[in-house]
Amino acid sequence: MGRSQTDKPQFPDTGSLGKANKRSTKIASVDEVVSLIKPGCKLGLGGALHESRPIALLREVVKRRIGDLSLYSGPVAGYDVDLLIGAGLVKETFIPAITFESHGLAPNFRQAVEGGLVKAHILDVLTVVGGLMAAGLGLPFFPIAALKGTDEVKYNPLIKKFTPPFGDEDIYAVQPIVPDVVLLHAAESDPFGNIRNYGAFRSVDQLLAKAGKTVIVSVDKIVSPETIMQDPYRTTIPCVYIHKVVEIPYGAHPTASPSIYSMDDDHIADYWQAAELKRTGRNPEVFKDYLRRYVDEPDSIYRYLELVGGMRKLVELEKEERQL
Amino acid sequence: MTSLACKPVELMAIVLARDIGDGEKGAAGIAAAVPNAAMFLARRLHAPNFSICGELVVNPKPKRLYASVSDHRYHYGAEAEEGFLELFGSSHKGLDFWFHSGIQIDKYGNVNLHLLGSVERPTFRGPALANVSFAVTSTRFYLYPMVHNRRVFVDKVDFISVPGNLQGPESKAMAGLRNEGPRLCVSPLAVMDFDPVTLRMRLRSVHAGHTVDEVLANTGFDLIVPERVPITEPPTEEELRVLREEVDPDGLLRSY
Repeated sequence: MGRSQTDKPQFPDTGSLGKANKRSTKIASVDEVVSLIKPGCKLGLGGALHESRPIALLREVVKRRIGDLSLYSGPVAGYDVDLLIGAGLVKETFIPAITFESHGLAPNFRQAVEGGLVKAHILDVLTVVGGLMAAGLGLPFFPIAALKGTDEVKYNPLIKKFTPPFGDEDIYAVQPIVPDVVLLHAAESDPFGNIRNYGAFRSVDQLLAKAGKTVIVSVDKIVSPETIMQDPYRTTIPCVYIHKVVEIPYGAHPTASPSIYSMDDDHIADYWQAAELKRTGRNPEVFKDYLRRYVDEPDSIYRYLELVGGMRKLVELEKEERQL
Repeated sequence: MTSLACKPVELMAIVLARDIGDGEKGAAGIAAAVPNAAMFLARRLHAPNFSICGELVVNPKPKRLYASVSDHRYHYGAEAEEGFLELFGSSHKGLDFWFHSGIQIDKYGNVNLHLLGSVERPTFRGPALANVSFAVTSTRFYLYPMVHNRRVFVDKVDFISVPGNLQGPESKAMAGLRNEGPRLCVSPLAVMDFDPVTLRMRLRSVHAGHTVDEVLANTGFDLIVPERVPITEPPTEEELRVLREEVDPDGLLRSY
């Protein structure tokens, strides 16, 4: 499993002939895929902000208290990263922006960074894209020429100024970003790991899939190989980059899975309230209750989905998505 | 005649919309309800050939106002969806304009969205931002602070997330910042621009119901005040109607 121990990117060993001389599937159980995530690893999260986030898998990470994580992500994060930090599992973040937008700032993130418990590295989207490009393309660095006048360049740990062989000014090189494990959420996959994801951030997923050492995808549904072959142009990440696929219906909830369901604004707002009560010290119990109720106690995705509002809520989120 | 009284954030959107030219290209990032309203308003009023692009989505036509390009519901009616390769390219080539809010903005229009205090151990960690380059590579950018007080309008920002005019013309040139930089700062109290010689912030107009003294009392640096400071041109009936009926029918701005 996984690529070589060096950071040199290469195609993963993601398939072999089974005993019956038959193509192996990549379908795995939640337990199987989460066992690949080790404490202290570099974890890369697909999607961005509250779209296409691998939340069901992250709940399992929290449930098992897999800690000391270095987090990478699409350029903006909110709920997911705040949840991991709130459970005390994060050492550092390499994520440009973390926010709950109109709900407010990210409470656990703020509290942990201001309290010196989490190191929030200062970097920007071009660093993330350039670093993933370098890793995915097999290059030692990727150039960035658009960073000027910002204090970010004094603190960004992934970049270095250099004099390029062409052009007339010094620019920056960003080193490859190579997560140990990448977690993605997509709408569909066939059993062999041919992924179809939708939404604005599918392209960050495509970059992450080519940069990570081990790539795990949760999908709302597994479709037949024939479905994929009918329209290969719709495959956004081919099987050759994917190690394991796990079917988890509504696996991105409370974030959105574009084409299937919208984000659950109400749930995210409730979470924010709970986390903010913890941050301000007014009532830390509400956040503990949140973790217990939605993360630790549910013994299956179906129990979780009942707790967040059940069929009525899910139909509502699907309806919102269809009526966009 | 309908009442032309409106929320300060609605007036901010209207003022910003008026400065967007037909045929231009621009975009806004996340937590950006005001600039999004401004862009959709401009496109419906005087700039039908204005294109939203550069941030993955090209010319979305959402049915209601969303705060963020990162919300896929905002992408309804888009003409194309690009990827991060194109975002990387657009960030280098630049657009005509871009927008920034800020937890601190200083007299040279520098923007802090990262932190207060020291980088090693901030007393306050803000949301930061994803793209620090669009404002620099684009021809100009707009500032739209959501509150106008001395905590936001400071003499010098604690951290320069996005450079405005740095410490004036010399430092701006030294840093290789060749574009116009910040053009307008539209706050809930007033409209500011920048003195062409010193590149320092200058009062341009005060919104109806507010005074120059009130603006100065809420600004933590010496704002340049010209001899004549007019009232900000109030919204027209048409501007307010299109904003409320077509751009923001659910009243997202009115809820602020």
